[in-house]
Amino acid sequence: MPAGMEAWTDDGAHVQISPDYPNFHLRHRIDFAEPGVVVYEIAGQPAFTRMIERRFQASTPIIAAIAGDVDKPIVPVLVNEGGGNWLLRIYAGSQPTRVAGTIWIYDLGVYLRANYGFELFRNDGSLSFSTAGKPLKIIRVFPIVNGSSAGSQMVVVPAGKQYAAITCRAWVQTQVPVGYRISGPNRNGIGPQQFYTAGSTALIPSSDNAAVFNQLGMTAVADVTGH
Amino acid sequence: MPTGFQTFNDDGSIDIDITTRLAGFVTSIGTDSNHGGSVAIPYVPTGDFFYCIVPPPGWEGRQPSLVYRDGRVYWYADVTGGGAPAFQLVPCTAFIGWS
Repeated sequence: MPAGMEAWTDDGAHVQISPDYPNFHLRHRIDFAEPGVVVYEIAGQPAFTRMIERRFQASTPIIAAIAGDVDKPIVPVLVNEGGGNWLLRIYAGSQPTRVAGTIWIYDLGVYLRANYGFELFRNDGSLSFSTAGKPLKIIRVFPIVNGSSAGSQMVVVPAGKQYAAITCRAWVQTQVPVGYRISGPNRNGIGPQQFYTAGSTALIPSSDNAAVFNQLGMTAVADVTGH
Repeated sequence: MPTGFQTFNDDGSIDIDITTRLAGFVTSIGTDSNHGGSVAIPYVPTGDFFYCIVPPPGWEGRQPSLVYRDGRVYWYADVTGGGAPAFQLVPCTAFIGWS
């Protein structure tokens, strides 16, 4: 018999909280605005793609991102270095002068506690959920089918809110012979505005680009207000 | 009258109420290298299918895309124009759920 409580949204369609679920909470927030290194350029033109690296620790990270500079998409690419150590390569595309934006890293577990809000424990005594721990909130999910990600996949961000994009496999185009175009958000997600999870693309060089293929995956919109 | 619960931030503003959609992960699964492989999922869908891939150490890219269909979760590589898998999948852990 499950212990604890469950909560559902008012439309009855979405489970909010259950102690039986793996709940993700905010673990790190990384703000960045720096030139980084140029990873792709065409002779005689401004640098087309820049990249910075960040390392952090987590067990099972989920990355939500926004771009600091309008129309300069941010694309985080995650590499598992083992032992709970992760490398995040953050690319900015469309001839950026710097890599600017914010990354929110959500992880299994609770990393912030306070003397207010709501906490839910499992029957083994472990903490399952905490509102003060800034749980991951998903506003909407968009599938990506055969490369057709993104163009019209938009949410309206209300005033007073900030949304960010979670991208899971949004390689929207292989560009032979350079590499991959990967979609990412190109706005800061602060309401009121229309926010596209995959507003435009960064062109990421790769030697492994022989085949042109259709890309699958998913993008989601997270509410990061106050996170 | 709406039913449910509200929680508040320390400044008194509403944090979570009955309209808030949280990330409703229900379980984790292990995917393998088979394009089109699947596993049965004994959960009733509630909302939009949502997943998160945790890549194995030392690997970048070539991860599966997941689809929920009729009680099973399927995993796929990206496909070429002819429908063939474009790469060999790397076995991963995936958290799945509905939000």
